[in-house]
Amino acid sequence: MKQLARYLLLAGAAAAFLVPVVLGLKVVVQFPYGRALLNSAVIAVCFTALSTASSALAGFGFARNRTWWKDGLFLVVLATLMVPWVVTLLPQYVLFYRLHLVGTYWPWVLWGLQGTPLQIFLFRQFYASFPRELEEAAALDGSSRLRTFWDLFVPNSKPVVAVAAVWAFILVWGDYLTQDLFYLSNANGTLLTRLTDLLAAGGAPGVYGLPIVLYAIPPIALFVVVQRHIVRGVVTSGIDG
Amino acid sequence: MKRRDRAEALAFFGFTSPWFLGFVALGAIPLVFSLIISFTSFQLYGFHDFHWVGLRNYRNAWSDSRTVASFEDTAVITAIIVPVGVVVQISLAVLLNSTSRLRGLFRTLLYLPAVIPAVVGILLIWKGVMVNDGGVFDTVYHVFRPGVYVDWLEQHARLVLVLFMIWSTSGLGMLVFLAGLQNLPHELRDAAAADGATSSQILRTITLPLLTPVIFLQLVLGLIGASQMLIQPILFGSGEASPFFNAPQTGTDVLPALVWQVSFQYVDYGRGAALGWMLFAIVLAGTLVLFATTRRWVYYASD
Repeated sequence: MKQLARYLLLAGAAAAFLVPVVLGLKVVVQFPYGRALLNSAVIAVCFTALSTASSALAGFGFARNRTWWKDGLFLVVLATLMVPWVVTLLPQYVLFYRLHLVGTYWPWVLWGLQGTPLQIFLFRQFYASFPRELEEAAALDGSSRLRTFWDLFVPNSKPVVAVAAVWAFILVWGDYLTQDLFYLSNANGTLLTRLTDLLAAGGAPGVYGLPIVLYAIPPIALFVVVQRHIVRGVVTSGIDG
Repeated sequence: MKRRDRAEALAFFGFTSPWFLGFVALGAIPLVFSLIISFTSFQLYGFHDFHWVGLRNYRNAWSDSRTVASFEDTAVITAIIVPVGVVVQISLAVLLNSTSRLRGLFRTLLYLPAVIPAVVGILLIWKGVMVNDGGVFDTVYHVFRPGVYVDWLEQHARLVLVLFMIWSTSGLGMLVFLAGLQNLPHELRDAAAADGATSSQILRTITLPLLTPVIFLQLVLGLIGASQMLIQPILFGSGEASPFFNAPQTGTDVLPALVWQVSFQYVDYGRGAALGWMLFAIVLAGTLVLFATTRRWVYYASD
């Protein structure tokens, strides 16, 4: 009972602390590009978090599971890399259009849930390198697959998660055409589409150059922070094997 | 044993279900749908124009001068970018591998262009400072031919696009080759050096042959990457206020960009889908050809 009371108290405190933040967001939205910034942030966070989580799960499944078809299915994952984006882009647009999802955050939520082949590859290579004894010990203790994953594998995955998350963020943050196409009907757009249209219309960079340089800083900064792990990830993934 | 197998299978599906659902809903089904509408005259806003036209979209592609020019652009640009890119990546990796100090710094600097969003890289850097009037290209050119005016984007669009693509995509390949180099055994090279071989001999006869698996990987990835060259020709192109409606410059009208234009500017989805599938077929064929030639020139250390 006491535990419950403690958690309720904490939740109440968190809510109280968050109220100013939410109100602040309402003010930000009234700034000229506030809405666009909010949109950019939401789709970036959604896609990054969801795709990293989904790819981690899938990578774990492809790496540690003991079924005879898992490697064949993994080849299918890699084969999807070969399909040009423009081939599936159009039907996806038709699909989202018919479902009235154009101009919402849903496309990025769904793409995030799907994961990306490169992230799945990263996680699979990483999780495949763990020793078998780890899982066998956990199985002896009677924990389920999910438990094993969550308790044993995830805590040790921090560098790979960082690389995968940063990679996904860089991908979605700069993806102008997707944002323009799937957000076109929304007058507020995303920060990237608004800034790009300004820049393209203005001829020489001039006064519109600075905002978009500022926009480019987050991915570059994130990259600099994790670049050491990227190299290690490439080396240990045995790409040349 | 049976129950355990079933449990394993269930666990597998559990872990891969988000990916699998996404793959079916956003990957496989759109792929099939795209194939189907490539045989129709589908327009987005209404199914009333949904007539089955068979291979007309495919046949028209050969008679349409713009599409044929696009095939040529795609072939030429890909044939340049992929091999030259690999050469650049290997050169940078070898250079980087031979240094001991400041390697991290140079690695970061060389990878930086790959991290810059395409919009910033093209609109701000290349269009704004490199190929504009009085920009870097002009300055270098005027050292050799002063007084001659060159509009780089109009006259040499292919060169600009090729240079941009190599500049912005070599970073990752460089890392891959660097990893490959570091995984090579030292003994062969040390023995050769002890026998008095020069470093270029070592490079040619030992390092490169041992690297052929990585070269093969990068060639395949490069081919796939070239087929995704969608945003770059559009951003380099000229047109309306929003780059969404840009037309690529002459000579850089590669297939992915053409599919985009046909689909979303001319709203001719059937034709766009047909072109997209032709692109897919080309990529598949190219990859298969590369795979078929591996025995000839790829040397695996396990042989």
